[in-house]
Amino acid sequence: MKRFINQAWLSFKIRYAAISFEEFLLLESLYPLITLAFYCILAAYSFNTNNLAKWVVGNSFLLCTNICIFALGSAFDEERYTGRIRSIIISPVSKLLIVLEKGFFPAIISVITVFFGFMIGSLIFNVDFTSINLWLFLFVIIVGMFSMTGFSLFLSSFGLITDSMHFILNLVANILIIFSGANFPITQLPQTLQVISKIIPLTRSIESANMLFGGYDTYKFVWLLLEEMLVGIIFYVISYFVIKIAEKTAKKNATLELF
Amino acid sequence: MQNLIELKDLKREFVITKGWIKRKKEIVKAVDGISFEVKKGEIFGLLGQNGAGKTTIIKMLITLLAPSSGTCKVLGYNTYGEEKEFRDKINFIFGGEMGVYKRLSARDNLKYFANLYYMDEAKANKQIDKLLELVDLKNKADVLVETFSKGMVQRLQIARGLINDPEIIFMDEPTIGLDPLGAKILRNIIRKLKTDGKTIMLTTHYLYEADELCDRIAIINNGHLVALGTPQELRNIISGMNTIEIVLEKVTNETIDVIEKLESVRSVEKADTDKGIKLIIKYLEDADISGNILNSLSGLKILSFNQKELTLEDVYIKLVEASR
Ligand SMILES: Nc1ncnc2c1ncn2[C@@H]1O[C@H](COP(=O)(O)OP(=O)(O)OP(=O)(O)O)[C@@H](O)[C@H]1O
Ligand SMILES: [Mg+2]
Repeated sequence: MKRFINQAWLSFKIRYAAISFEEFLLLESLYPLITLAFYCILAAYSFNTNNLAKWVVGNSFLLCTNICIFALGSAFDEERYTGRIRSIIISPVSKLLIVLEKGFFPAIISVITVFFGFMIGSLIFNVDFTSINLWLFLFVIIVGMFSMTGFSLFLSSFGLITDSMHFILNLVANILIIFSGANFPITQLPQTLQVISKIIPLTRSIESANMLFGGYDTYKFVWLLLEEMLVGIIFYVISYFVIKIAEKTAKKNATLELF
Repeated sequence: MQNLIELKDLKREFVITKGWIKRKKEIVKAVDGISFEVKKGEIFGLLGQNGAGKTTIIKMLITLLAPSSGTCKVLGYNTYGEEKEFRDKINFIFGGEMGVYKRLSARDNLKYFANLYYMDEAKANKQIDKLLELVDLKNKADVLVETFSKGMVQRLQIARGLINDPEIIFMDEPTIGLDPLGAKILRNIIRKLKTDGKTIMLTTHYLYEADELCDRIAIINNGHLVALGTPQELRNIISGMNTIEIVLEKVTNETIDVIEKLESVRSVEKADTDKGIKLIIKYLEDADISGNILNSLSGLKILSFNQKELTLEDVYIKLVEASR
């Protein structure tokens, strides 16, 4: 465990050592906040509503997707481009662990970002959060993060075999925006596409977070969270195998190195 | 002695797709049926032209690439499929500036790589200090690698490649980018590794380096094995001749006759040069005839006297050209 934290810290340094603390704050919080504001204002006009709670909640969840998807999802891709993938592949280290180490600190940061994004967003758009249990809200975020991490792990394995990771990650980030119910009610989507909402992470966390605002059914709330965790676990298990398969495929097709 | 590396009829093909709209597939046979073994404790050299297939062979050995067919075994295990069994016993040093974390210090880099081998912390720290000393980066240990020169990065790569104290070390052009002193330090490290009982496979384009270091050398061209043997054996393939070049102010035909009649001398050529008259004398390799030649030249003014051994470069060029 200590080794894990050490490696995670080194990975974090690799990622962020080039920028100063101020830049880091700007990059990791201001930019997401502006995105959040953009969607809330859009919602206020297009749905002609004053109750923006739903959008503030949904979009604060989306804040974490970028960090998570790009930090974990691009793990192998990045190493390939810098020629460091060799050392990782030939060593006995678990390749899954490498991705998790890379995502560990970014994931913590994104939990904090979601939480503060929600608070600040609420203040700006007059969402009353005094009535909800903030600890419960935080817990929902953590569950959401958990399944996002599993999902991003799954994505990362493609970094071993394709050169189009940027495209894939951006595509997936947008799919999440559309299908997680953060901005449009899922019920408005065509029936067949609603399936996508069911299999991606976040949908259920967003739904349960929204439940905190109305009166809610405890049974349904707990059930949603359990389902979200299950989605996460399924993605972890799939990733474990997919990363192995991707590694083998990469060795066969010589896609490990770009030169 | 034990064979640590075993290649049998090893092949690797690459499929290249050309064109954007109209796709054309082309197959490159990078390694096309190569067999050899490397014994424990050997320094084994791979020589060959650009694109000969050296790096491809090394990549298959270090589990980065799956063979298309044939056997590729390290420590008795298949490098594709049984990687797990020997991963912690091998490592590699590749030339060039890729492959380290520029935004970490040298020490942090090595810590990161040590953790890839699940080394325990105390042992890792000890090893890191030892290696930093070995590659002469001790006083730069805590500086970001970003600020390193090419040669310094290269020395860090060497330390990286030794982090897990491997049994077998694969080196692909390890001295590329090093200054003469750095290259010499590396050659000394390689020799020291050999005395520690390590096995080394290396590629290089510097033939004198291969000659100096390697116990055995394989020459490869177009994915085929052209020749294999000790540096001396390779020389013998080409010819058993050595050469002496003498430049004289003037020389008579009688003197040349005398030299030609010496035992072991096979031919004497005469050439006029700016500096004087050059005699090129070819003789059987094992003979020691310089004393006799000097005797027959007594009284003449010798401007220069050069005993030339066949270099590995001569051998290499002949073999590669012949194999075309
Ligand atoms: N990933 C790849 N995809 C397609 N072709 C490749 C790939 N890697 C190598 N090749 C081809 O395989 C052949 C052998 O390349 P290799 O890198 O093994 O040569 P080398 O002997 O190491 O040469 P050099 O001295 O230039 O390093 C070359 O023709 C090269 O173009
Ligand atoms: Mg090469």
